[in-house]
Amino acid sequence: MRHVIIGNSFAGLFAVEAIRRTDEESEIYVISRERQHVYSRAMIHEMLSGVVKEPMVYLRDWDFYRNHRVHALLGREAQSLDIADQTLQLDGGETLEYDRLLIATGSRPFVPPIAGLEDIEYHTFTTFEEAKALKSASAGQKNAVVLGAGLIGLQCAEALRHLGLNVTVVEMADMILPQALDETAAEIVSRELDDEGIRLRMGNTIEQIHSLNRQPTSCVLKSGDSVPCDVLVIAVGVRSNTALAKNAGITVERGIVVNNRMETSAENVYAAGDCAQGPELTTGMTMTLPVIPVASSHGMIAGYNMAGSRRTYRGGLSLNALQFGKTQVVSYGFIKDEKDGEVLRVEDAKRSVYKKVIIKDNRVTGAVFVRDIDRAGIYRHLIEQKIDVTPFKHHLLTPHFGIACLPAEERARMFTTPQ
Amino acid sequence: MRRVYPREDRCINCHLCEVACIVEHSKSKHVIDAFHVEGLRFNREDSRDVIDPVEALAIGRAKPLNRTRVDVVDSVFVSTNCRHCAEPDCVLACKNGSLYVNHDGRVLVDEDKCVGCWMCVMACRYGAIQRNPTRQNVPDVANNGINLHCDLCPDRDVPACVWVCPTNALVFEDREVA
Repeated sequence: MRHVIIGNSFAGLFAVEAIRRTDEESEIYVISRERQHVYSRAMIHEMLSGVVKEPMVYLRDWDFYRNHRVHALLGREAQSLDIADQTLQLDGGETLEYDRLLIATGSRPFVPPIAGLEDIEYHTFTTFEEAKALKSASAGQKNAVVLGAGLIGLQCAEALRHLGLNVTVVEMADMILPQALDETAAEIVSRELDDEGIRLRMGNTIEQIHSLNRQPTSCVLKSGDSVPCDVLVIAVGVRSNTALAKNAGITVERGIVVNNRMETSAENVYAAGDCAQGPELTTGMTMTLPVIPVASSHGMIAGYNMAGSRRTYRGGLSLNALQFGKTQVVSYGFIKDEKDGEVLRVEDAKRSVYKKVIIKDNRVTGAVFVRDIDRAGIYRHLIEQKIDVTPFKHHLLTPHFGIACLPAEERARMFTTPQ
Repeated sequence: MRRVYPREDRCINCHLCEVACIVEHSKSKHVIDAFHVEGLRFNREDSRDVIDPVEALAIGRAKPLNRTRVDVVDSVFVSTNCRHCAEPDCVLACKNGSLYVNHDGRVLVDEDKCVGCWMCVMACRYGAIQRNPTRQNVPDVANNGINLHCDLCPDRDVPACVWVCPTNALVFEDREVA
């Protein structure tokens, strides 16, 4: 049996570990366009700002591939897939057969058309190499502009600010982190970014980039004013990498469509992580959820099923843990969706504490915690297990809320048997 | 694998498990020195009026380092800590691989690698992860600290919380999956 995994991040990593837990014998190939040892894309802003040492970005020890007996084809690319023959065409003309294939190709930055963009060297910020390129390009520069106030854009902005640049973030929406936060939480994080000296230009976009010798000099915004710019980072969002699957005839919508065993429409082909469109827990629909815990769980479930140990995924949940300056934020589910829901809220503006849960049909469907994040994970359990909160609703969001508030049978399920 | 399980009907809300946990993981391993010389405290003391363990430490309040916690509401007392899950949500969420399942089944953190991103706090459905403000691996980032959770007392045959419990409300057993 030969397992081939395309992609070398969270989904690929947890797939390798799940396969090896089930099956010591099979061959495992990991193919990645990137040359690096398995690393975390969620650490590249900390690498850019220089606050962490490089070894801290690697997800496993150096002998990981050897210990798991993985043939790691790093710096290689799978160019096409034949699902009838069960073969992959690699760069350099090589053909690789598979018995089970996992597509964990992740996502790539989306770059919108902007007047003047073709005349400059701009940056995107999702990989190790891109972070290194941005680091050398920003050395000695004064002014950076980041287009997009999503997680990637803001983390990049914070790192550039840490390096001493004047940073302006331009965002089309009227709030930062529109995917992960609601208005109140976004407001608190915005103040933190303000305090750090990052300029936020909301409800705005770049109309025209002026440049000289392929170097940007300024950006003209929709509002009409001009922002000086030596370094431009485009971070408006990511798109799933689905071309390989689509060209092979596999069903693709926003991502590669998978069922709760991570199987695609093609036999023996699985997909996991940012490129996969899998089941979501609160809505019952399938969607792409580009967050680490979902990618890792996808990979693990795919790995077990590839190795013949049948496992089903209960569905993903949009989970975020963010940190800007001294403000931490944890959010679960879709926290702006308040219609037909009951909303519980705790606000302490003086200390920038904010907590909110959304309850629909007596079940928690979303929650956000700013600064007071300890033990927030219990709310994740309430959401995922769809626990009826009626008996303990008066305890939700109180400082003493904890395991003891849960129904006795739920406590017994959680604390009397191995988990 | 042997894990710690609470028995609610026996817990009398004495918090000795928290004391024993603090002492076992202190420098002196002596109860009076741990509290009065090293300045360690229960985590809960801070949560009353200081939100953040880091904030607490910054104003010289306390070093909250108990990894087990007696959870109390009305007449329910239950001592809770890390479940050492077989497929831990914290490990699946950890953004730089500093949480891992050890060869003996314990879920551990690499204390030199953790950057305090709190993906683990977000992920753990048992609420078993604390923020330890006394360690900093990313000194330039405010309000950091590192993951703190039960390590099943590697220097002991039986974890300190189980050993100290006067009513056998905590047991250390190898149980079957339900």
